[in-house]
Amino acid sequence: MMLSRTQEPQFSDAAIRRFLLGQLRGTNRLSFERALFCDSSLEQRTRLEEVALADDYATRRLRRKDFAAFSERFALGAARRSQIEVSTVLRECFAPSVDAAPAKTLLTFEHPVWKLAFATMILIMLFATIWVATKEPHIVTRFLPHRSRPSAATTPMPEVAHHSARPSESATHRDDSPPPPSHEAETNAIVLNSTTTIENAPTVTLATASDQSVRVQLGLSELTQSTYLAELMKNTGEVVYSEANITAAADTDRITFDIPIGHLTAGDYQVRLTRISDGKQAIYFLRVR
Amino acid sequence: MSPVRQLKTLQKTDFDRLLSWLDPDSERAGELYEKIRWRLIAILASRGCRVPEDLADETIDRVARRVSDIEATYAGDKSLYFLGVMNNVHHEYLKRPRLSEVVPPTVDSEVKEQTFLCLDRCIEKLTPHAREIIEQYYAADKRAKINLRKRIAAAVGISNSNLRLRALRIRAKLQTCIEQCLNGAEARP
Repeated sequence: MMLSRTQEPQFSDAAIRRFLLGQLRGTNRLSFERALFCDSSLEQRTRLEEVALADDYATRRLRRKDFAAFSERFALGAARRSQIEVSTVLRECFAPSVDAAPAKTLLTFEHPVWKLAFATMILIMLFATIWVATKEPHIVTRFLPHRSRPSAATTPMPEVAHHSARPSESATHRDDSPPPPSHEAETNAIVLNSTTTIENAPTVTLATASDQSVRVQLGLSELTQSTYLAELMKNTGEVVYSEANITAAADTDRITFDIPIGHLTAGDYQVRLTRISDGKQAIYFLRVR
Repeated sequence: MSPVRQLKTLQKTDFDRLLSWLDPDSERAGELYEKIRWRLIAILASRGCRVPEDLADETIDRVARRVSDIEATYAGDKSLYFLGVMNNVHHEYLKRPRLSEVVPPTVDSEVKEQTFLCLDRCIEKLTPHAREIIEQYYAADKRAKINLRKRIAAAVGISNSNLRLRALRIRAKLQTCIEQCLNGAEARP
């Protein structure tokens, strides 16, 4: 990371990135901070790496670990948020659809070898099927449905079909559908786990939400009685809603966090849960459509 | 009024004295001031401070108030003085009770639409060559980008790493242009 060719410490691009994500520790961090004030070329490189980091975030190229650090240490302040906004706009303006790209890669066999292999495989399967059907007809008959001669159906007259045979029963139709289950009246909670990534985060659809708030249950890694601060953040790191003093009982592994619908718009969110006693944090991802 | 807000009411004379202490040439002093502010914000954000811009301003305000006392005797790199004061400001910040520091939600769609408009304007201002680099740089997806960068680098006659630097510099210019454009849009009625 640090090379000492000259008197001034030289920092690699990776070290600059680690500084921006708050991952430099101890003397490395202190010497970087000092160098940033003394070395204008390091400042220039850091500014460019700042842009590159915002671009990587917008194009979803950050690793999961870096993604969390990005939200906590990078996406702070108006200037950085503006950078992220511009990166997002640039991506949307020029880049092909992120969702469409993997599908295209999977379905297109651009290389001629793949085309040939696929065609050969289909031909082999076709010939094998014909050979089996010709040489072993008893195997084929096992899979064909048995055809029986259709018998005459005795269809009752409409009045017989639609009314009860028992004269004591009312002429009106009986409603056999079961009563609605009692739990339907309760608010549906979305369970979030801190091991979930942004890619497989649960999705909340606002159009179908019937309540004024969305209830999420945050999985806890330890069973201890504690008080928590839950913060809902956008992918830019903006805290849009928070709830303090949420208490978890010692015997529960989940904590409930109600988010008013007014704070949610379509986009990617994360919930940061901070244990008040020791400041330990966990991040949960959530998507809103 | 919070301590941060109190300190923001800096006297103009203190600020002018700070600039002339940084450099007698007012233009160079202004550039140096912006650089120092950016460095302070970068360091404070890296330390996990939730309000890096406020603390950077608080640091600059404190230095500005002390310039009259130190300007005659201070020797060495002046910008390092800011680093020392910033460490004190950050230390005090860590001792303060944690406030919710909730950022008011902005109307994303409006801002985004305005950013798109500004992007169009700023891209028009680029040279055709720079425009081509930035469009191609952002056009390709991850896998295609590696090959594309090699192709552009070969066509332009520079190394792959230099191309990245060039694209990022153009991107940084775009950022400045878009910010100025957005500020102009806000100022308009």
